[in-house]
Amino acid sequence: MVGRVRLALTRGAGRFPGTVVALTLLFLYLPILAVGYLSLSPNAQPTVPIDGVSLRWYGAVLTDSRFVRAALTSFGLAVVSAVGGTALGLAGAHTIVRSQLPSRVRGAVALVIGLPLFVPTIVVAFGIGVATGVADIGFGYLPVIFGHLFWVLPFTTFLLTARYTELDDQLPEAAQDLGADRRTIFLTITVPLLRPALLASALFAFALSFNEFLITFFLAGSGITTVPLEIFGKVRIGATSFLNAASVLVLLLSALIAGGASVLQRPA
Amino acid sequence: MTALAADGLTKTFGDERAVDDVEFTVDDGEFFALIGPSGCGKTTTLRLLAGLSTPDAGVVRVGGEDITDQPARDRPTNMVFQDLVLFPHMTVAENVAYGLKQAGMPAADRTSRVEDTLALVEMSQFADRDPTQLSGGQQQRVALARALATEPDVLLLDEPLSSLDRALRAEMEAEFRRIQRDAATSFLYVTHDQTSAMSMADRIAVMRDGQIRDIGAPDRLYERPQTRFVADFLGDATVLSGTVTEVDSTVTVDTPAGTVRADPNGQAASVDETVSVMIRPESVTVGTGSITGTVIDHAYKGFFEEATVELSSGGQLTVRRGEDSTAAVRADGSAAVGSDPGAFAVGDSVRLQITEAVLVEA
Amino acid sequence: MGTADEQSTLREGVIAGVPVSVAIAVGVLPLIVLFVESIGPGLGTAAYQEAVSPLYRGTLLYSLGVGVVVTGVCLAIAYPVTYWVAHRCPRRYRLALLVTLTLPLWLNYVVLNYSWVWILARGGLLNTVATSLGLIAEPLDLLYNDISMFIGFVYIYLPYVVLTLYVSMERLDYRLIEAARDLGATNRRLFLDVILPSTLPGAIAAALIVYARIAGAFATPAILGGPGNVMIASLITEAFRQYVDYGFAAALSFVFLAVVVVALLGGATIPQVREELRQW
Repeated sequence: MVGRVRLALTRGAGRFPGTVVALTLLFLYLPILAVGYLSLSPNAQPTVPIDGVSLRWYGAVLTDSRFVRAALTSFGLAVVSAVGGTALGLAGAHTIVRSQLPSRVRGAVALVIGLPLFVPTIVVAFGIGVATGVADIGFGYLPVIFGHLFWVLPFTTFLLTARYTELDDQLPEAAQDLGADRRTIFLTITVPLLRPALLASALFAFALSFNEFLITFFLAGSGITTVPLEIFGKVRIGATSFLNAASVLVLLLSALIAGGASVLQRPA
Repeated sequence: MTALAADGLTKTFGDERAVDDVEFTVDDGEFFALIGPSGCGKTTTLRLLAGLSTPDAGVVRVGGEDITDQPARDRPTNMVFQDLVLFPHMTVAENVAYGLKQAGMPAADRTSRVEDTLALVEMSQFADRDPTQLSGGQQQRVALARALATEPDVLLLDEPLSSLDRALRAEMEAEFRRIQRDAATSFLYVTHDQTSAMSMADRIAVMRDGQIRDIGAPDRLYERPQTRFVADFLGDATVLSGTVTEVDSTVTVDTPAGTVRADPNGQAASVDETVSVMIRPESVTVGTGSITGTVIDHAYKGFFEEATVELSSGGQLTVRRGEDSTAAVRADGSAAVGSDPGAFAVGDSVRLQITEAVLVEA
Repeated sequence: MGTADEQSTLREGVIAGVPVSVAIAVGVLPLIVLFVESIGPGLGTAAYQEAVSPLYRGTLLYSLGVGVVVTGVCLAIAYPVTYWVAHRCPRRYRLALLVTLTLPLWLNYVVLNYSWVWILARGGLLNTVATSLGLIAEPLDLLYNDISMFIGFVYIYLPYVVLTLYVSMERLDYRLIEAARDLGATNRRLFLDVILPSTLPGAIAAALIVYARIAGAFATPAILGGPGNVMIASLITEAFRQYVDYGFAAALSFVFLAVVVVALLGGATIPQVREELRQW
């Protein structure tokens, strides 16, 4: 008896961690599956269980003018964030990894760029909301774009920093020795070698911007509405099949983009 | 004609003078080696010549023209890096063509020049391959081709063979020599491996602590080094201290190994002065001679044996013996018979004669 | 690199400057404006005094408390999960599993919060399944209260903790565990003596990143919380939406920010924790 207890104790944590992993996966994906399941209900207010399978709510979502407008805005913002966020991220990564600036300066740059990760978004969002009012910039696309770039920047910068450090720092020297100037080195050596990371960065930035809620919420003065804002507004009113269908579409989009980015980021 | 001249080059890092007033020239078509122990400043010197680093003082000239203020990309020099640093995202041919592209050569000319250069290094069939898939020796050749494609006036090589195993290194050394002759380009080859340098170079400069200690042809440096450091660095040497007893065409020195007649080797010597005498192991014949001693250590090196002999008069001498030398006398007085003269054994007593010695600076 | 060093420093500065300007313009300037607002026209502390009055102090403490509890639960779950993935999972599934566990980070958290409404509602999935299986007699009140908000928080923030903790868990040398077992360590000892000390900086870093976000969260309490679950973000949002005078809300934000920053700096003084934070 004592031997068996000791065996159980020393044989390891047993199946406990594995069980937790399984339960966690269930926990994480069950709600998503639930929403997906309920989105197939033919009724405006789904019953549990659903009585019948219908795709009409997907159709309703895709033809809802308000929702489509929000989707286009979100999409446009996301593209700007993807491109701008990656370009800025590359500048940031270059500064942190390769620049000749003193290491204190580089550390400070990393810290400032990383602010969104540590400062509670509510404070930042509130601050931007107040600042745009005070500065009389008025609500509009520009503050929202800046807000999204700010949010996206730490992710793109640190992703690119990780890849940048892996580059052989003698490659620019070899290119230089063979006659290339800085611009040529950047275009023929640095960018091609960073390409997978740049694409992954753009995709992550796209997903992050598309799903950004709080900053946009505070800046959504007149007329600007994004998909997260629309969904939030409808959630406050009540849960419906329409909402479920919209949710599934949004989740699928983000999942595909993020999944693609993950594949790009780590070549097998 | 001088291909490359370094004049008074100095570079300091913090408190340390990595390169201290370095001066030397490389002639047209010459294979020149710059050697020295790790940390002596040879790689820093190379980078100054390449333009990847700016000297604090001094001038770099190529073909007579002062290029000290030119950045690396404008200089008529190309470098082969120690880690080779081939561009991993380009094919072999694209790597080789890179410098030509930067120089603005049209595509058709580029293609033919790349072909010719790859043929020179015998890598023609690898033109479209991924350089990361090649073996070490093959990558060496590609690196060489890439640097030679633009036909630079001087090729700078930073210990490119240090990561190869011995057999491959020997093969590549011969290849480097051949390619250098065929391309008729001046090579400046930096290494810490003196055997490599001696087998490839027309002339060698020995560096230590940022300064050049001696420059000359390999045979001159080996047989008649100027300083003890150079003597020790290039091959094995025994350096004995002794007092001068007589000076005429040779210098007679009283050393722990007995009386030695040494070549003055450009050193001024007067009677009663203390001097250093260098003796190469192969300059000592075993079997006959006035010097006696006992073997205290020996090593088998393949085609020769080496022994450390404790001399009866005090002091030690390193001796070498190939297969055709005469036998040692065993402790019991017997001599070995037959084609094998018999190995040195610890405890054997031997008779030695010094056939050659030179004076060196301490 | 060769000559022209001054020119390159200027250029480096410009390259560095662009992203930094964005970060400062959006991150720092508004905070300055906010601060000015909180002091008010007369440079007084009136707004702050009101902000720390018992009513609002209560909300602040509640928010911080929720942050701490949720972070603790997330860590408790993340430990066995990251341990299993890092040291028990067959190598070829590791990456896919990690991606699956952290995918929710890239999904829309409004939607993610909302999805629990359907599970926890009186007529929702959990209640319906439980009553039809006979586990409970009557549907439970699981929505718009502490429970639903708590679940929502764990749901949203678990991936953050898993991701951050995984980095240090992966670095833990499994041979240490084998050696300890070989010497007869029980699971408890193993955890306390081997796993915990080695991964503690990572855990602290994860906690710091997540607890502030939870305490300052808006969407989760708004979607899954009830009238009794007022958190600091709701107060600030209300103030923004309704009041003309932002001073009070600004003061509130700063008090909150101050608490968060102090904790962050406190944690960041430990060098190992700083290293972990660099992963982000």
